[in-house]
Amino acid sequence: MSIARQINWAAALTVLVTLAAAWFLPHYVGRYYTHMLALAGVTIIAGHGLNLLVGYTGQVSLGHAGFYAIGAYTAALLATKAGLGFWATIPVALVLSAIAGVLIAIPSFKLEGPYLSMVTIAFGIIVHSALIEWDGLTGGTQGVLNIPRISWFGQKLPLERQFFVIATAVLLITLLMRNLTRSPWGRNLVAVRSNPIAAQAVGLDTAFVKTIAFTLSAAIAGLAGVLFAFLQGFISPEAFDFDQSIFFLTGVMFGGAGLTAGPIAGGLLTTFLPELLQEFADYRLIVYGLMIVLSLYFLPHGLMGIVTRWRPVGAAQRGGRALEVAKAFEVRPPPSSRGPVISLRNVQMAFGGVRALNGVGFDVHPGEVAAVIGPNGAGKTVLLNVLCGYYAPTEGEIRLQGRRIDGASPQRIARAGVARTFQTAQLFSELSVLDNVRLGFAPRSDKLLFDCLVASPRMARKDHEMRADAESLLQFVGYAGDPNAPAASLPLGHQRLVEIARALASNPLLVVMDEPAAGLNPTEVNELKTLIRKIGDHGIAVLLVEHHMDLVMELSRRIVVLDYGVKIAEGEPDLIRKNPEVVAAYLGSEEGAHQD
Amino acid sequence: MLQLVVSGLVLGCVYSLVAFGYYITFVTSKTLNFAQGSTMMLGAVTMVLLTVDHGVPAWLAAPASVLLLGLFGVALERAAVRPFVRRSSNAWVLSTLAVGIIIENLVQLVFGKSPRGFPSSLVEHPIRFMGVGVYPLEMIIPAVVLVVAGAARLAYTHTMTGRALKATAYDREASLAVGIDVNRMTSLSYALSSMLAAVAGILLGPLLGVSSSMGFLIGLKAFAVAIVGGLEQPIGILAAGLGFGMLENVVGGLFGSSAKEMAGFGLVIAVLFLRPSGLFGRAPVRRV
Repeated sequence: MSIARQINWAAALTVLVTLAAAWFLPHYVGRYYTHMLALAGVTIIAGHGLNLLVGYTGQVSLGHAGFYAIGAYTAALLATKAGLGFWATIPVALVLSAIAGVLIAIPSFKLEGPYLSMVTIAFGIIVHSALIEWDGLTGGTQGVLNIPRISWFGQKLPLERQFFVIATAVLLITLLMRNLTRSPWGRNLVAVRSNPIAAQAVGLDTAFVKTIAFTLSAAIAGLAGVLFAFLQGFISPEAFDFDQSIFFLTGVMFGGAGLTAGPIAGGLLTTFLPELLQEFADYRLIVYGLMIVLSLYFLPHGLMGIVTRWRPVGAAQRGGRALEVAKAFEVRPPPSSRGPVISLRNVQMAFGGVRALNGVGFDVHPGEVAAVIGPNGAGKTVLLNVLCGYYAPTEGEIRLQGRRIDGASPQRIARAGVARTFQTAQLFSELSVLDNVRLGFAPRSDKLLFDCLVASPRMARKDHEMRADAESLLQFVGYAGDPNAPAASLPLGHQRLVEIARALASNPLLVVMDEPAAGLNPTEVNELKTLIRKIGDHGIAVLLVEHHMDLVMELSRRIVVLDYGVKIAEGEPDLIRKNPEVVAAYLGSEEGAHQD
Repeated sequence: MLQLVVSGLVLGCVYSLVAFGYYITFVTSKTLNFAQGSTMMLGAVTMVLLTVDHGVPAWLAAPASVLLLGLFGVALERAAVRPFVRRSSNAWVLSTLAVGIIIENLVQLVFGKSPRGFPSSLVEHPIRFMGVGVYPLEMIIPAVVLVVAGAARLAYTHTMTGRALKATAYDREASLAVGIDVNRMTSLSYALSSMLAAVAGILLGPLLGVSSSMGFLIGLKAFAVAIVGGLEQPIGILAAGLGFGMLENVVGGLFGSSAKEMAGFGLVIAVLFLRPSGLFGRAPVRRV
């Protein structure tokens, strides 16, 4: 508790000092530089918004000037045509630019890389063309003139006070971004960038996370637009073209994408650099271009990347290890019946003409360890992918505690209680071990977005809980390494353990493991055996796909044998071992069961 | 109207040509040259400098410009793409854009701000046919596009380098394993891509005039064409180019130039909404 107070004091002090500086600075630097600083403030705000997308969520926007334009024109038109004041225009501008953000987010669900860049470019150009074309409303190429100044209780503010308003806005947005990126939601954003498949596996709705990022980002750009319009007093389409989008992006990359301080350094630099380059006259833009290339080359993490050492987002401070294991598993309502956790009936999966699964069906009961085995290409991994929602089965039913889940999205199935580990561990490689496991609790942060933005005590409490629970889960799986190490740096065996801990974090009914023993040494395989048994003892069903026969035979109570997508046998290990069809499938006997 | 359609199709051919450039680098290295528009402009400017300022005959100047631009492509890949790909960063987006800014302003300095005409005997007398005037050059452009596409196809299947390029596009890792110099292939793809842009610039120069800012919008539109066609589908790109050029020219002729951009790029968004991998692209099967 006392630590929390100390941090608050430090933050409060920073805020006060910044505000005091913003109040007095204009007297020392004169009108021209005050205006320049105010413009830099606008760029910083827009940069914060863009950083959320580019730096955290990994969605490159090349049309951010579009959102900026929507904010600026909304405010300018409301002020000049409807007579609204500065403060009244802000909410309208924020809402409209946020709506544009939602619209641009929708294609981002399915589009990747260059395809998404194209949508953002097209959006920017359409907005820019609309500003010119729709001249009855926007004043065409002339733009909007005579926008009133920022006012305070009906009184128009002089430049130095306008600057103070903008500086306060910069401070506010910076704090919000700082809070957000250090919170569970910040981890969600990074997770979507870092490993979309794993993000779905922990139950994160990537579409929803992207929508939130685009919406916030667009609204913040809209706010920058409002400030720009009122600061300048006039706006015209020129200020909102493709080059402006590039200018924003340059600022973020220059300053350091993925760092809260990045857009601040970048905004100041991109605003004042052209000033410094004034003496180059005609060479100005050439030098500017060269500096972009060189800085990308020599400062891969931007200017702030040198100052702040690149560290995983939301990396936690070292803390005491925690608590008893049981706490990490929430108490679930007792199963609706004593029946199976999961039951598959006649599951078919066809890719074009190839039948990867042909009428597979079996049950797994609570606390039971079951295994799916079969020769290569038998359809084992396809089965897991169908079960976890990565493919929708062509036919058949999958029920989780009696409720149909076939065809649902991976994140819905994950949330319903099916956790998954992958053949090659899918971790969020640049995040710490602890953050990886905490992301297993992602569904817990669903309703915390606002709390994350303002760093509410509720958020702090929940995050603390997640941290403690994550630590006890790491203990449970027997991870002995550094909880703050980036996941990418871990040896294979540790990666597996972390992935299992993350899977358990969702408090699953069933854990599905795709070849958990692959690549492990004999000691590690033994530890894995103990761990899987322990998981079963906690009442969690485990479904293994494994080639490691020794492990399968020792652990499983039920074995399902697949061959060419067909279930050729099911039963206890001893029966399976003696089953002639199974032996045939593995050894390729002539009387094998390969009719289809 | 027919006139608008015809000149739109010609413009579309040029878009496709530039868009092929995006395609080539994307399939080999999953990167794009966002300075492709400026590269095209540079091709046109080189051509004008050689012929008009230095009196080099066109039959010599054209291949010379194309070759020079090929070298430029290699240099660009080395300086602005490879260093970032190596550390698996997507900073090449911004660095190639920056290269575009640099070229555009350098050319402005050397070449002057105002557009220059590019005299050519091929655009003096339009040939009239069914009320549609077509310059000889406008008939050559589609022919060149077809020849280039055909030649590329032949080279891809019948030469060792072509096959290596194709292999690199198909699977980088496996190509490395069989001893293909993947880096050289990437260089080559950038050279080819820039040469295509240069051809487009040279063809377009006499029609639209040559200036330092001629490439910017065309570069973006060609990107739109490449995306709508499906970045990995050459036939799709050709079709999308023709369609885009035609639509744009007709809308522009009827409603003015801002409406033209809105219609063109609006359509791009609409297409991507419905078909996330472009009109002709196939959605990849997810591997988990």
